[in-house]
Amino acid sequence: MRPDPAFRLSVYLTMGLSCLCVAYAEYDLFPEVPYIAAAAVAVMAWLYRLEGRVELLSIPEANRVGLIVGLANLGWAGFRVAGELNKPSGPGAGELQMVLVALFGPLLVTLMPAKLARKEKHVGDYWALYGMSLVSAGLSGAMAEDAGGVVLIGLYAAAAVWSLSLFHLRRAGGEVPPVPNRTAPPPVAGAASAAPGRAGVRPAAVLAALAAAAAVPVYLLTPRSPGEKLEFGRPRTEVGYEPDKMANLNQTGTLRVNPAVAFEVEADTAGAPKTDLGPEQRWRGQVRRQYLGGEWRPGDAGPALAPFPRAPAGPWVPPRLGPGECRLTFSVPDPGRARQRGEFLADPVGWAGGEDVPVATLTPEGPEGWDAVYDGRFFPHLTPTPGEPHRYTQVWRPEPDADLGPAVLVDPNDPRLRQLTHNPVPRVKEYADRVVDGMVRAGQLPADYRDPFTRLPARRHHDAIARALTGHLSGSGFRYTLTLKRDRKEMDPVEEFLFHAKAGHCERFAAALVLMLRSQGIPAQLALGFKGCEPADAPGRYVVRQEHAHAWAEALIVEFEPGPRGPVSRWRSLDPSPTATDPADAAGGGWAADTRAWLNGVFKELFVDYSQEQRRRALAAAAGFATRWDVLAGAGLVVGGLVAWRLRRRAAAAEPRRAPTLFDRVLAVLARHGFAPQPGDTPREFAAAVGAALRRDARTAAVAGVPGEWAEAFYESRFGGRPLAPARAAALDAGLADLTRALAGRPVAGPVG
Amino acid sequence: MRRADADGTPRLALTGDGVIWLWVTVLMAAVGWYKSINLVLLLAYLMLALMVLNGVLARLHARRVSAAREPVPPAFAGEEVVVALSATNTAARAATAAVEDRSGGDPVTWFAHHLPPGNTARFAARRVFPVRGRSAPGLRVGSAYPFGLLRYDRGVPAEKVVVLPPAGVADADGLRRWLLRSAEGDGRARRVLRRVTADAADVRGVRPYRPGDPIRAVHWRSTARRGALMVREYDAAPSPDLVLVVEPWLPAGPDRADLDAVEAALSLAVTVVRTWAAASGTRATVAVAGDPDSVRTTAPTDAGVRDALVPLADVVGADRFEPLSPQAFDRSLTRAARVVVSSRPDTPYAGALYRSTGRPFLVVCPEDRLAWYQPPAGVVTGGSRTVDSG
Repeated sequence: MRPDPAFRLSVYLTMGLSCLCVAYAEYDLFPEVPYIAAAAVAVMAWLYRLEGRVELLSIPEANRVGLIVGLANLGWAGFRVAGELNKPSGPGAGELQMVLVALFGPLLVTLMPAKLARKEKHVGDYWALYGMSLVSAGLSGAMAEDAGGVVLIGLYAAAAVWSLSLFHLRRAGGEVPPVPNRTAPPPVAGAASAAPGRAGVRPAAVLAALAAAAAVPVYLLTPRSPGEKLEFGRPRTEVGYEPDKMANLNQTGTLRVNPAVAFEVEADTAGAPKTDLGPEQRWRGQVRRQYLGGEWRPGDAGPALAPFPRAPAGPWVPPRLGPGECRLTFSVPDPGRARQRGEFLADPVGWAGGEDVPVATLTPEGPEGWDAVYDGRFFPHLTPTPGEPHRYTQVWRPEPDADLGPAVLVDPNDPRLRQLTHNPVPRVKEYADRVVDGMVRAGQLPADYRDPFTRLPARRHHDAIARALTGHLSGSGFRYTLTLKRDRKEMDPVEEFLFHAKAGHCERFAAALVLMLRSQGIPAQLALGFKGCEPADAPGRYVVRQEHAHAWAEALIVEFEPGPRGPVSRWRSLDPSPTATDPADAAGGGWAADTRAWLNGVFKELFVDYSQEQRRRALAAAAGFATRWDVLAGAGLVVGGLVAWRLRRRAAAAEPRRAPTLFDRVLAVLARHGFAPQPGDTPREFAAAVGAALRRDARTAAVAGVPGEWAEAFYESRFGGRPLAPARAAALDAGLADLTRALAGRPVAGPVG
Repeated sequence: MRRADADGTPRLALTGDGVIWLWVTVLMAAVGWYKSINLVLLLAYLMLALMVLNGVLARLHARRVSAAREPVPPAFAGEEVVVALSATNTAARAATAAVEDRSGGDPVTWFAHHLPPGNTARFAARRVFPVRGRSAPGLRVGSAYPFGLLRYDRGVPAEKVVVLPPAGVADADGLRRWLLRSAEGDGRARRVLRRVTADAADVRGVRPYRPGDPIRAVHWRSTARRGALMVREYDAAPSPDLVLVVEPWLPAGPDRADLDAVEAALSLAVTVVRTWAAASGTRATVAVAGDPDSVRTTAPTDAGVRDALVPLADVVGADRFEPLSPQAFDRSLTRAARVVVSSRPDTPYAGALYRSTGRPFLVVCPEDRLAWYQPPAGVVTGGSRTVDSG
């Protein structure tokens, strides 16, 4: 028997929407999935038309179709897995697992039509269909990244609520066969429906809205898990400090902004809060020196720098860096298993030769100075306690040129410099040479800038060349974008960036600059850390978020300037990342694009990327909103209005209003003089009793008939359907006036009758 | 799934589907929360909210509906009876609920969707009550609206259905002949029957004698006047009333066969009364041994017969009964055919009744071979016996 149209439509709609969810969510990972989903939806549409008109598949036939579909899926999945395993960069274990799970989506999409094609579907079949659609939607929810995915899942949920409500009604009415070979519910002997329509869309919409209104606040209030977020589908990256990921230029995908707090800083100068830390402040984390196959690795230690601070032998004594020095106190929370905890220092890191290191961990027993490596790196002596924030302090002095590190002595022949001048990508030198030649043509460099022996730029030109190369990358048609692509995977990422893509994130820019510098014989390394900070809730306190993660280049300008004991060298920090973002990333382009970008942002913040920090901010915002006086007043008005309306409705229902009748006038007159009808008295009976009472009194005997006249007139008009003639109405009014006058001279009567 | 308690205490419980739904929800919520898959967590919360809504709405809707079973006349066990129910929405909003009737063994459900406020939906079904007695199960009103994940049930008391012992089939003429023949062993009884028969006849008129007419019927006065034999012509002699006493004898420590014998005796009694009332148009008085309050006389209608047989629905066997006194009977025993139906042969109860009332009673038990009686399925009988009234 063909189920009723509304129920059929709801089932097919729910299944179709779940297929669309899968198609939308897995498009980036498996570009062929939308076609598979489109085919499945087309088959469903065809089955929808056919059901009830032609014989659909029997159970064995449907099972065979399902088997064939499943095998076809298996073949395609095998092909996909093989492709993953044969990737040039090798199979990533985590990615392979995610791909395997994501392959369920297309499998479910193709199995749903096979299930729908069964001739007689019982309760279990329908529940299986709902289950498959739920898994599909759940999978899509795990992979959804923007408002589109969230909206599709929302539509699916609404359709599912509608379908489930109709499913229950059909089951309860005995229209859907129970699961065979199981204890059946009591048979339904009969069903009656007085629903205005069988579609039930409106009640289902109300139910879905109520459920959403209850579920969303609970979801927003739920504390976030400390575990690592599961990343489905395509490898997704976010703007955040993860040195290994940041150093891998082969990664692709759209970088997502992560507003989680990376660490906090308190800055004070001689006890007074330092409030002038700005958005250009860099915070140095790790450095990477070795470049191989698109990835930056730590490499060997750098060249020795002298003079270098000493590791304290006893209690740490803060070094004296000179006027303007300040104390920065860092608090780095334990990020859990999500990330490795890092140590960050204000860049450029300054020290005083021969004095204690400028950094110390704050312990209950007192500050514990860090260890120092001769190449300018510092490491905490004590391992931070898991679960607790790592607190340490740095003595720092902002330099007039914030990009220049302290003056140091470097042996130009230090073999460790070779690592910093190694450029494994020949075409990068070709590019850099062109830029430098352009400098010569522009008169920024003399024609003989090259060292006759090395054929590389002489050291005296290194600083100018470094700054020029930096300026070249931050302009000249290069774009900053959060969308990382690798269209030419056979090329080195830096080479592709310089010659073809000309767009990328800060790591691409920094890596390209480092290699370009090296190609010109300038020692350079990649620095990973943060750039920028936000004032926190107190003066001198700052918050640095994951979204501030940044990469830049550091060039060692050997023999930068003369010094008292010979030429001194300085590390110069170079940030080639342009500040303007890709127009494709920006929210420009009219109100439609703005709205879309806003919606995307809201959905990402509240649903896709809702983190503990966002929860905290959302709760704070909600609390702030809820405690505003205008909001409270408005809410009070609304609640009060609702209560008053409900009370009025109840009162009206309890006391049905009675329209005033003709007889009420004489009742009102008589009531003033103590005449009231007994319970159950009809107007005629009451009038007769009043008339008898009035007749007994000489003062009112003449008007004793007036109540009776009024009663008769009432009956004629109320029940006889004869409206009063004007003359008669006038006579009645006159009689009433006489009665009123007569009663006025009479003492108040007792009960009548 | 747990249902409303037997005493009708309302109960909200998960259905089988609801249990699975809850497990899936918990699993999704756990995975979604632990792995920070926010949309999966939100979907799980949505499912949980739908379940809670289901519970709230199921309770609301079930409480809006009241149900009642229309009084069912006493029915014979195994007889198909139309049971009518009504479900009324006593609230101010529409209600969706199901009414379940467990009378007659297997439960049957009726479903009312979107019953408008103040409206009544009427349902009927053919039910068969397999066992005599008073079918006590009330009605249950429940709702699992709107998703069937939770169900709220509450019991509604309903009038009991009286189920009479199953009736067999009896041949009316055979029963009449048997009554007459059985009375042969007791001449007095036979004369009573015949006298009752004759006295009860209405004289229609006189007619000429025809060979075979009884000499008694000769109307001598008319014969003398006409000079030819004239006989009285009677209307069909009305059957006498029937007085039937049931003795549900059970020995101490009865076994299955003893219990079956009692049921068979009850079925035989019911069949006799029913057949007699339908065929003869006269009244029958039914009594249960030892219970003066059980004496009832039928009206010569089907309803009257059923009403008179009601005490048989509650019969509980015993091993001794006090004989009924003549005052217990609401009719004269003199002009009635008097029968004792016992579950045992050779019952002394008929003799005790004779001593008590001074009137002999014919005795029959299911073991008697009664050619005119076909017991209902499952009831076995044997031969027939009468008891010496002395």
